[in-house]
Amino acid sequence: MLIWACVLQELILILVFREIKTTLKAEGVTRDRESSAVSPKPLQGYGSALLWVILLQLPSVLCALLPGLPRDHPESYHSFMWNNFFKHIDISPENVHILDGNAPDLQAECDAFEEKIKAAGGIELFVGGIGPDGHIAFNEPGSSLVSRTRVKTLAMDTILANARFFDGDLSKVPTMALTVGVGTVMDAREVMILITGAHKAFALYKAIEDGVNHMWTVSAFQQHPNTVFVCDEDATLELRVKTVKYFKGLMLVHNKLVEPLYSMKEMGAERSQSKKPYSD
Amino acid sequence: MPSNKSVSDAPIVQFTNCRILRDHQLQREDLWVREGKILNPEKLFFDEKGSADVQLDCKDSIIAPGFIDVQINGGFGVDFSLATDDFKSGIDLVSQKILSHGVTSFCPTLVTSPPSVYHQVLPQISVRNGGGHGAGILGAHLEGPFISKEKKGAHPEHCLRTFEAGAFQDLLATYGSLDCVQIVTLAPEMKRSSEVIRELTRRGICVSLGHSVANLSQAEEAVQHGATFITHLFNAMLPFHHRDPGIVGLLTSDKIPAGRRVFYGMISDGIHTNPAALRIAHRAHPKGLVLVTDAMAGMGLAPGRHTLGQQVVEIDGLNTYIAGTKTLSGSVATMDTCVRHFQEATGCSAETALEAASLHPAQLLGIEHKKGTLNYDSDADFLMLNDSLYVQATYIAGEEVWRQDVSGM
Repeated sequence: MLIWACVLQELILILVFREIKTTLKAEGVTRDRESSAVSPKPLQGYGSALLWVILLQLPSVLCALLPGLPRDHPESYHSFMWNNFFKHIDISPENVHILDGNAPDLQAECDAFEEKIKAAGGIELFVGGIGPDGHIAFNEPGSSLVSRTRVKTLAMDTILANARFFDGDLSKVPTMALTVGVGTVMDAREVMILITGAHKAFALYKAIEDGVNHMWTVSAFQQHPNTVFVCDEDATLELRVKTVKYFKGLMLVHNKLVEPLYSMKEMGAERSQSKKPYSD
Repeated sequence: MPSNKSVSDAPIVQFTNCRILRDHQLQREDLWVREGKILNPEKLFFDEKGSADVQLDCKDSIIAPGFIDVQINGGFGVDFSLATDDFKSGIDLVSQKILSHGVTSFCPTLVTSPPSVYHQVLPQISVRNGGGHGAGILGAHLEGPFISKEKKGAHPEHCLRTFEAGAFQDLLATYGSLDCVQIVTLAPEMKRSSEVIRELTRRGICVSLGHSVANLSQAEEAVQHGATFITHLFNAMLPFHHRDPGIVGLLTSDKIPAGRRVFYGMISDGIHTNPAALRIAHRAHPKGLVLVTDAMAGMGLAPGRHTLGQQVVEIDGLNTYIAGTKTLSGSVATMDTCVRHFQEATGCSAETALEAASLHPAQLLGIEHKKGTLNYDSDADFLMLNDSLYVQATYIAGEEVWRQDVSGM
């Protein structure tokens, strides 16, 4: 059965085999958002795994409609994903599905995307990141927490951040993007969010220590049955010390849960121990 | 996984586990080849949804563009300046043998010869692609006979000529045909050289300055008229002088027309130039250095006597002199030894040494859009080398045409 993982950080949906899901969680796909480098190391063991990848269009690619970033521009998402992910793994390009920002009917394109997800049996694993404003994918503050894949207006912050792709000319930056909705991601059976760096610290705080709020859309995952947030030390700077210590203590327990061999070994040891007719 | 049939049926080969020379750096990237050209894998992936048919593990080799030798007079007993009956098979032999030196394209060079030789030999040289049969021929390099008497070097004096009377027409009459000529070396101080240089440049032929006693202003004038190359810098020209640097001064001249670069050939075999001189030139103008072998018939053969056009030369180790004199005449160096010696003598990076033998000659001849690089859509002529820059395998148009015999080394 195909496992879907959506990497919203770079707006990519990845479908991986169930066997790989565990490796991803245990090793942790790390990525430095600022330098846009995905560590290929955890991915090298994939070999012949089949990966479905669905790419969400960045506004830069959407604006191939207007004068914008062409697909082979070194800063385009296509180039990013190719250089940091696809070229290091063995994935069949037919399994890569890219939302087309040049489609004549954008809403129909989004709806078709939702259909593709359904047809493949739903998202098994979603891997993503967050913005400094706590957005997941391009679900900017104020997005509905039950939204689906759609055309979304971009916040000024995001437009400013993207200006670097358009020679700093704000008038050239696209104002809309195609994105999966919060609801779409919530339907995934498992979610992994990667958060690194001090500039994400406040968003992380809002995501896990405050309530569910559409102004910090990633907080919606507090209501998801199976979500993992992977962070580095800097990202925890705005959290309470108590929270950080609590989760660090849980790591040991968590590792046992994801390492089947570890658990089996333990279980096996317990069983053999219980067979002893006498005690030491 | 099948490649996308709608664009091309040709097999796609992916060379993995290698470091490729691209954008002036050795990068850990895979090299993709289809139909004899370097393929863009990102385009293949997204646009064609294609993938590799064959994956080859290069065992961590360096992959560099194939070497281009723009000055080679012969080798393995073959002399390009001799109008023999089996000239064609001679050129075929050399083109096949130099594959093992990493040369994938070359300019067969003719030294000063009587017009009859040019009329017989030139029609037998044709521009052709390389392949399993041998390195590609880019065109002939005619070194002489319009050169200076004082700096003739190993060229026979009785064959020297001038074009005072009829300028370009004289040149054309001497050579017979310029159809497959790529480079002409001449001495710019000769009368009416400007007209000749302009006409040759207009026809797309690269003009090189050499075997000359020109001063710097004469050399600069020649460059302004279109000259772009210097034949074996330091050899057969006036030595550098601080008040008149001569042709050597072109390396740092401020009279070069904007957007143009003067290239200069160097024979880095340790004999034709002292390594210190090699370093001075390299440091003064690193982007213009073109490694050439200037190899002659004795290259690849045992020491002893061989011919170089109308002369007899004697080989003793790496030294080649006109028989009975101390006049240097050509070399027996191979391109890969030149690359290695260049790297050793200058302490430069592997990338710089490799580019001096591939990218720079391609830029000189204006063919860098298809040769001399590993950029997408250029010809897939490349080499696999080990870290010490010894050639392990040679590929032309994506096909392996030579491989180092594992047992011998």
